[in-house]
Amino acid sequence: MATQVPQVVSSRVQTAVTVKPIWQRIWQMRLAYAFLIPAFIFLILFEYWPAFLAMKEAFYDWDGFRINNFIGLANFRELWNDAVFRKSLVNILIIFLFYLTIPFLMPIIIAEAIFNLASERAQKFWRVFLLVPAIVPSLVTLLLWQYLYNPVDGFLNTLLVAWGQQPQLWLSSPDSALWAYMLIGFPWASGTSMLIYFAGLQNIPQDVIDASRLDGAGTWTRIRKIDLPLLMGQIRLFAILTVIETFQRYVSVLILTDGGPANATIVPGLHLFHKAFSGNRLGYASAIGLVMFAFILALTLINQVLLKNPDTESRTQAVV
Amino acid sequence: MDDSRSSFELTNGLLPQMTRRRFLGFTVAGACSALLAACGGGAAETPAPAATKSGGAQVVFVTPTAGSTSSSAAGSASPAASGSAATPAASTAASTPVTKAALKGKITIGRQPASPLSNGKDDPGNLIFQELIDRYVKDHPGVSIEWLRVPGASFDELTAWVKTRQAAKNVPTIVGSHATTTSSQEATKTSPWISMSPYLAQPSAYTGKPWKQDFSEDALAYIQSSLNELYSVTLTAYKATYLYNKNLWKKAGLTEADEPKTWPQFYAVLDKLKNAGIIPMARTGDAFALSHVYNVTVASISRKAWLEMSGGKMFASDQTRYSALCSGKWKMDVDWNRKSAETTKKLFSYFPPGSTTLKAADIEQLYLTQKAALWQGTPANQGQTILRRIDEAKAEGLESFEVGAFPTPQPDAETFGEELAKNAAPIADDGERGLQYMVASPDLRMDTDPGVEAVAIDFLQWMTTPEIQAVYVKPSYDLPINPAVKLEDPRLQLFYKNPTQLFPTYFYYGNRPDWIPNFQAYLLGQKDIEAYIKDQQAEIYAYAQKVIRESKLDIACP
Repeated sequence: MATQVPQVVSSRVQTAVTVKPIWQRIWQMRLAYAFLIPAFIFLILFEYWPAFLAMKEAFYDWDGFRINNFIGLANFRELWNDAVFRKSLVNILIIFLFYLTIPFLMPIIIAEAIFNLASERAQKFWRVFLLVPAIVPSLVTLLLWQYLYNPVDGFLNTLLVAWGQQPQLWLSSPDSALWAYMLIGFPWASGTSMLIYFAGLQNIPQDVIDASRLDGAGTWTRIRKIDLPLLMGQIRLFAILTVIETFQRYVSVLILTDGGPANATIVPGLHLFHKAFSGNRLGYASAIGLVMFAFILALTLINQVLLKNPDTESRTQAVV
Repeated sequence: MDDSRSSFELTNGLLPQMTRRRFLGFTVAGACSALLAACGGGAAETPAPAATKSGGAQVVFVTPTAGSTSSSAAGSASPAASGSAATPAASTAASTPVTKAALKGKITIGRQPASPLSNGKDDPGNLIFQELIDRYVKDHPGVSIEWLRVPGASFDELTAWVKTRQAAKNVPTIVGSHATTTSSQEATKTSPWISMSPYLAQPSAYTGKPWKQDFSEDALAYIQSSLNELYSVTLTAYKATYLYNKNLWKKAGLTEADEPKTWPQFYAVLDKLKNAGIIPMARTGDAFALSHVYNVTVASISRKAWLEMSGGKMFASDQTRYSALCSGKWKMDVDWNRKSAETTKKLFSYFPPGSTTLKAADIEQLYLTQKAALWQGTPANQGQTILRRIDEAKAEGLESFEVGAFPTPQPDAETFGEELAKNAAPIADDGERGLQYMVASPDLRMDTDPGVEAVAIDFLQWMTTPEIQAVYVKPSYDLPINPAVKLEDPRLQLFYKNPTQLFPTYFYYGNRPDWIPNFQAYLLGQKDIEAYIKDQQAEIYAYAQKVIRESKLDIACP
């Protein structure tokens, strides 16, 4: 009995600590919160407030200056019938599906290839070699591709003519522009994604790899049964980032084609940009933004569900 | 929780002298400073103009070159470039600036500077403008002028800047615009700009003659627009032509006698160039270039329809134009619109391959490297400062070439049909004249300040004198607005081969980012003309609704 009293007291104290009112806990941590206040203020002012404003203005006829009339769902009704928006959605879905294939797999393949190199010096060399292009500003890369694709005297057409082939219009033809745009970045081997996959592979405990070898697993089996399941966190991250990045992209299209020719490369982000800043229809542009937000959110959630394989998770946990 | 508490205690321990009050004070001050830095960082660079504090006079001057990419001209001003493009005519040599100590006040000028040169130096056009401001201030000790350099080089950027300033009631005394700006605003009688018309008949303070004599008559008619009021002062004339490379012309077996006078001759010349392996026309297929080519013909052959719509007037107010459009009196499914589209499509076939994605710099290179034969534009814009570039190449010992010029032929019966040709207005190469640029701000009306207005008018009259005009246009190769300035560079005379200014319809073309994909689809064979015209009509209605809303016109539009 004598030993029970302190236990009761202890549990009561513990309960008292855990149920302390929130304002008391805030007061207790007042200095820390005071440090955080400027960050909160700026976050609300520059992140949440504009986003909230955009959501609100999606229901307004707003020119960003003087006109700001509530019009209910009129912007969304117009959007439903907007042929350019539909075309932009089709284009972005094609781009997205393409990016989920070779451009998505290539960094994993390259990371695996480097990881399986026997020499550490060779590994270092290839890591640096493949990372260097990622340091080049993306604008420079785009301008280089623009030169490669120049229909009059670009590098690709010069090569084709030298080989006795007909020059192509690349970005300038409605038939080839979208494919030419998607090929930019070829061979999609460099960049931080490859490094992150490589780091993921390096994190796999050596004893797990050794055990697989002892069990007679070859390289291909090891990649399938160990590497890929243990890389699932990174793969999920990049799948989500690919969704977000692809559906928000417009700058590269703006620079290379401005959505042309004849809307062949129009994407929702650029359509939004045109409506907002060339047409002064910020309310309509906000409606496009809101729809795209819902679209990206839905795709991200679907992505999460699809990539959340319980078997994989349990196996991963078991291995770790 | 424990971890965070211990780090909190550690932090607290490191700051033993800081009281709670002092800490909160620092935090609030820091937040306020950061907020001010984020929101008002530019304030120090562009202080609020004094004129607007007192509700200063608002005048607009128009620099047509700024509308194009001439402002982004790279390359340096070679001796040839900055040489003797123009001088005042002997007849007006007596017009010299005078010192006016009595004139007092401060004016601000909001104007987009030309982009820096490729070597990082300021564009000679900027330098000369600043020099002229300094010279004016020196001659007028009581006056101070501040040039607010508006960021960007495009019309959209300028419009956004002006709108923001208007919202803040902080518009400069003089705003560098791209063309006339006020007809919609005047239609609702709420223009923020003041009319300078009363000054036109009065003697200029510098020439002693009526100020209107410092402008070419047709340009003045154009900038006064439907209201016949002067809201903007143009400093440069805007005349375009087809400049051809004489080397390539010869290579294609053409002589000076082949300069086309008719459309069949024009097409024959273009075919000869193409067959000789030369790109006939250095043009991009972007919105600016295509709308220009399109409007050159459309403004001419739509004359009859225009006069019927406007009640016989060359200029029509927005109320008249949009009423006609929205009532169906003015529509796109008509012969002249079809013919203009077809003509543009034909000319488009002579553009460089893939022209829809070529940039102005690309086609400039095609022309300067003698791959393309024809350059359509003004001496100082429609792409880049082409004559200056040719002179720079020559000064650097690079292969150069001489240029000839011819204007766009007048529409003829063979190409356009008898009815359209008979009623066509005299064609002019300046298609952009037909487009209305507008800084729409009908909600604002600035109070005028007679003192500031006097200074602004005096400065503008000084800028349009022959002597100052000659200095102003030198580095840019622009054409002076004052007809009394003698052009010494013979190539500048080439731009006057077509004496006609445009029949200045304010054509409806909708919003270019909407129109251009539709038009490109037609030009590239993705749409037939019926589909193009149907979509064009819809775009124009959409654009009209926007203008009507913004300008608060009382018109119901479908």
